[in-house]
Amino acid sequence: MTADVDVREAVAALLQRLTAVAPFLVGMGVDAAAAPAHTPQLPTTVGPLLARLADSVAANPSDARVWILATAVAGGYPNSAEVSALRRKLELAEPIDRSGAVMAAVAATASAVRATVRAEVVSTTIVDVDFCAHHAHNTGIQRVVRNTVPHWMGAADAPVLVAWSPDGTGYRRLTPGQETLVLDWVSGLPSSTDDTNAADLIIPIGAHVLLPEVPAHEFIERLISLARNSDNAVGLIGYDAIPIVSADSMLEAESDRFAAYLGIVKHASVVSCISAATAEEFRGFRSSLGAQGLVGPEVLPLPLPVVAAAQPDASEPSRPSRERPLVLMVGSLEPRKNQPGVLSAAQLLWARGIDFELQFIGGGSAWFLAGFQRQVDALARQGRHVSIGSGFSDEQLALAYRDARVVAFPSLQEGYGLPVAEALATGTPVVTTRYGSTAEIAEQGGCLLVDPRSDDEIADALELLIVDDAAHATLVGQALARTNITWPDYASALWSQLVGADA
Amino acid sequence: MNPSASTPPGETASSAAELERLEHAVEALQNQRVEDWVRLVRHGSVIPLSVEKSLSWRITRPVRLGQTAVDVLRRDGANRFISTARVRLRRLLSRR
Repeated sequence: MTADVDVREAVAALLQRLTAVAPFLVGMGVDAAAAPAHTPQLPTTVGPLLARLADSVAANPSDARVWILATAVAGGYPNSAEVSALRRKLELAEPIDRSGAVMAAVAATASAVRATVRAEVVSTTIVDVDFCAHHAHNTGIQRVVRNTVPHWMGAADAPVLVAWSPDGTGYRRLTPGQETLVLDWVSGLPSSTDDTNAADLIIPIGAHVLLPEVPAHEFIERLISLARNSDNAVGLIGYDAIPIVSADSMLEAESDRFAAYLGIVKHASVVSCISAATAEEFRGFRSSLGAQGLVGPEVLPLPLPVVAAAQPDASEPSRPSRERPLVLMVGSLEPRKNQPGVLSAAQLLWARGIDFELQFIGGGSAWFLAGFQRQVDALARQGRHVSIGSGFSDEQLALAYRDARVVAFPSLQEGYGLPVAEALATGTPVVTTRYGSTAEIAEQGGCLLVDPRSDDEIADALELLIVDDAAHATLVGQALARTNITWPDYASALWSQLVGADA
Repeated sequence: MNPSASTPPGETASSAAELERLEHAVEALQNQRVEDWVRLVRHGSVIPLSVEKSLSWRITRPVRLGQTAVDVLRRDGANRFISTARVRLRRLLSRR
């Protein structure tokens, strides 16, 4: 009895989904040419309607129309193999067999959709904020998303924010809790585990689909299909290509995920890159696509704003006098960030008799953290003032930037270098890498540029800013005199690049 | 010569009724075919909610998870398996 009720509900949901997409399938292509003035009368029961839509798509089996039909029938987004298989089956099947061909082709995705899902067609702009909607974690990419997306929400053409259903088969609108995590994030919010499997499937048709995050591996296959087969324009933020071009410094699984992600990139319409250096990386990938007969996305640079992580507590003294000057390095603990180079430079300075405190802030993977922690602990036992901190709130981080005499960030490779920007916005000088995106940020002043592979150069730059008050004051003045764009400026420019109109 | 011109009125009405009956039959068959498919994909490989909520189903969950993990590992390889497992685990651990 329960099973029959489930089936009736599933059939009703299928009918609703088919009805939702029908105007886009019988109003396009051959049908549109045959009856341009009106939408043809459509069947009102599920079997005949499916047969009607299958006939319509078979008459003009473009990938976009096949993708829509497959999505509606399955109740989730098909992968590229399913789209190709369905297109070929529709082309080869006898008219009476077309419905069966559709159902057979999408059975795998359909069986992964647990709920009797209904659909909502969206033809404007949707923004995939899946990670931010589920997790309270707030570093690089999440900072960009949470500082950008809220500025899009007040406009008349505000986008629909979406996250993946837990079954991983399609987009859903955000729940109120997920919206809070994206639009009103504050330190200490709990993560979200809302079950949205039963909520309406968002079917984008003729829409802009924006991906400001790098999607989780499990969603990439369906996103590649969406970018490749559907008529939606996919726009991305390009953060860096480090997992591929510096795979030797990454976990293999991260490189594997990024390699899959490039499958979305090559079928996207536009990639907005967070620095000119990153844009060069993505242009390099784009230039390789000719060998596949593909054009690739338009690649545009749009540097991130130089803004403080947060406003430190106003009741705190402006720059408290410390027992010894603080050298700060913020960033995840991994070889690419070059914490060992800074630690080595610090040892050179301590050997020269310069007294200062060195603090690293950032989490890290166990495989790197354990060895680095041992080095730091050994130096601390020798009386050196050095420590590793993690789990700082934005306000605590802002205080640390403010209290630091100098921030060290001689990273070997960056997509942008948020710690450099956040330090400069606070008025703290930075010792950073003389090439790539950090050199771009440094163009307006406030930085000393070094070769990150030379511990001596790092040490000399740090020494100058620790012991020479005049040089330090000059860089502080430069940092405070910068004309920095704001997050609203960035959000508006990003919308223009990805969607094509001012926010 | 138009054959219908010589068809008696009663017989025309009968043909129309037969056509309508056949159309209904086709429609019913098309609907039945979809229902059969729905039953297959919903209940062939997916477990009804009533079963999912049962005690025995929940007790045996670790065994099924283990089998699923082995299947995914075989199908997708180690890298994809690790990545998927990390995402699932993160979501599971953040439940409150």
